[in-house]
Amino acid sequence: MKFSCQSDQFQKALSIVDKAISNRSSVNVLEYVFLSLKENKLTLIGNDLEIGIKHSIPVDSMEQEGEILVKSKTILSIMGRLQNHPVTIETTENVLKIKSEKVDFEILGLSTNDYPQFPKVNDGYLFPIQIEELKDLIKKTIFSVSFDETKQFLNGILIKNEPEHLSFISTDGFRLSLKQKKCEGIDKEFSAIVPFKAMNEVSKIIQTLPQEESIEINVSEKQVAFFIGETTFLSRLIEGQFPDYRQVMPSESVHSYVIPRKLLLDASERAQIIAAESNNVVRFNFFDNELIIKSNANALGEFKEGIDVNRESGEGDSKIAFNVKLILDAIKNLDDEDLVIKFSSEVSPCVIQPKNEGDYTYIIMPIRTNDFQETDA
Amino acid sequence: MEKMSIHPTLLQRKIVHIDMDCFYAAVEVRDNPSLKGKPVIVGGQPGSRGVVATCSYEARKFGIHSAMSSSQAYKRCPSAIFIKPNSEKYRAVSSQIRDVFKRYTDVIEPLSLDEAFLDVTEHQLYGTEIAKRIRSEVFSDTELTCSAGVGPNKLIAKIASDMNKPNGITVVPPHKAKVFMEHLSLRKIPGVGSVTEKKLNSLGFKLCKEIWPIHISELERKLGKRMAGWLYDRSRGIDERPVRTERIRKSLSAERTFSEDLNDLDKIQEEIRKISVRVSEQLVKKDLKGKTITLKIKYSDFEQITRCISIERKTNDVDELFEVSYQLLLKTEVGARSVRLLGIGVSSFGDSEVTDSSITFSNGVQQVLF
Repeated sequence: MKFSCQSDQFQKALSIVDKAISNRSSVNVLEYVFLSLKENKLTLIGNDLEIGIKHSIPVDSMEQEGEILVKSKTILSIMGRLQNHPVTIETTENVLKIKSEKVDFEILGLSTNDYPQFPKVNDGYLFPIQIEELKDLIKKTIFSVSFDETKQFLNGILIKNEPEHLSFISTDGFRLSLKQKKCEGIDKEFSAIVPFKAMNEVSKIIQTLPQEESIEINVSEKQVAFFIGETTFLSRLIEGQFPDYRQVMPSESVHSYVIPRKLLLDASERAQIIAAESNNVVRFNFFDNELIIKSNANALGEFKEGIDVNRESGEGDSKIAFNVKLILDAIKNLDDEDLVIKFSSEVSPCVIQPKNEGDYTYIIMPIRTNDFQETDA
Repeated sequence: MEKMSIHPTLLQRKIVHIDMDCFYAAVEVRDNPSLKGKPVIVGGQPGSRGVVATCSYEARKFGIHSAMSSSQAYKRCPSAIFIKPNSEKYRAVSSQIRDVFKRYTDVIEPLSLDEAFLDVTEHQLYGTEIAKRIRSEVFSDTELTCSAGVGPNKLIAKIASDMNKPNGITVVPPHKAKVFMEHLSLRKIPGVGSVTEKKLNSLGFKLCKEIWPIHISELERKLGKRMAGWLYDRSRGIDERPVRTERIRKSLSAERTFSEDLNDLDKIQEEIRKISVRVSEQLVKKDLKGKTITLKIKYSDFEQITRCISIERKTNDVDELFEVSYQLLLKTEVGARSVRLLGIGVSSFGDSEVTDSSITFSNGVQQVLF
């Protein structure tokens, strides 16, 4: 192979596929990036057998086609230190030569014979989705993913489609995020658990792309593929049964209040300063038109703040306590003006939803605190 | 100038070792500024049989160090302020610190609550710059200082972080690795303890560079194959161990081989206590408690036996470890046969917090969805 390109463009392409390249793998070739030059197009592949990424870039000039494996980390470092200069890349046998002005590198590569084949996407269900919408679906659910390795089926986001209703759902057992979106034209039912890493990388890749454009997703039995411009991003799916969110969703709640999101966010952040020293426990005391948020920590101090709220249903005063981190995770990622908080008791699931957007639901389990118990007794 | 050859493994990675300065004591001083400038000891109370977990630099001036018995520490400095460890609090701060690390890399190997290796090879910035930023971000997020070592591998990064302690940074680029190791005492290599040091000293080795001219076969003859290969690499600053992100400890143990076989039960009991202290100190430092306690004995004829028992509640308490180990000892032939080696291990740390379905705090119980 022989071609020229800009080092920064090459570097950018390498860093995309590098996300699917193992640092230290027992399978040596997985530390390598697969380079293939054909018809003025350079295709790069990284594959760690969990995630596979294929990305293509045009080259400035191509003299000879070919393919080779090179250590991803090495070539990435080299491109990062060539100050955006044009480079010429040439292979002879299994040696990759990189020339840029007066710089010469010769890197030992490997033959592509032993490289695992990039999985084919030829079955499953293919549908388009707007980047802006996909970003929103990921952003509002990814923070609830569990990292508990004993519950692998929770280590990803469940993507589920019921006719014209696409849902992203994630939970770690303490809270659950559900974001839905109306999708006309996605008519097939499917459900797939996409690993956290894949979702996280996809959200990074689409971050810089024009929001109004669309990408395509292909869900099959064992894998999911994202077709993002010149990038094909493949991930193995997590096997297992994702818990049914309908079973934990309270059908109706005794108490319901409307709270301005910004006020709740600021107060919760203030409460956390003290709560951080006492397991993040923050107490919410609801009165007819006021919410008092409190936190305290031994040997540190106390916090108390009042927020004006509107009661929508229920009567009498009510109390509930939360891990404030779980509250913040959700409300930080929303941008609605008003939120609705609904719950029935201090030990039952609490629902937080944007007031005017029915397609996001956050279910959070409270903390049963000692002093509430005393009040009961 | 002498031509420097750089070992190829030194060019592949950039590793940062971060070590919080007197972590537990620093947290306590931060939260109670009236302790500032005073000898503060976090650990067991002086009257108890506990040990010092960490102490402030002011306390170190009196010769107090971690793992020393609290009563010993009290003798050296009666005016020291003894504080009971608040592991919940330290864990919270530790997770704040880890959040800082995560801004730079996912490849993090925590060694304990206050110490971690970071593989920052993938990061665009120089290791030095990353270490500087981490230090300043740790300080702004927690008001605590830490020391950093930057090097081409874990060995060098770890030794380096200790060089400018407290609140310092030491950077060893690959081409300086050789010079860095050259005048270093062998004792500075993590893994060379007092026993190994004595042995090396008796062979005439004090500094790393003194190992260099010795041929590997000669080293093997003097030190045994495993030790020789290990020291051959380490003395040259070579260490290929990866930074392990998922380190799930299954057991923790300590043992001691005696220069002379032990017969006397009192003496053996005393050794069991010493080993219990070491194991307990490590468990406390790593924030672990175990259910299964194993006693290992090698008799003078090299026959090795183990006896283990599972107790009801997980522990890392030194007295409990000692009691249980001693009970196990009584089930052996110790006393009748002389003993060459004694060891105590603790395992069955059980589910970590995340796998517990509900989490119980001192001030409440986190409810679960399913």
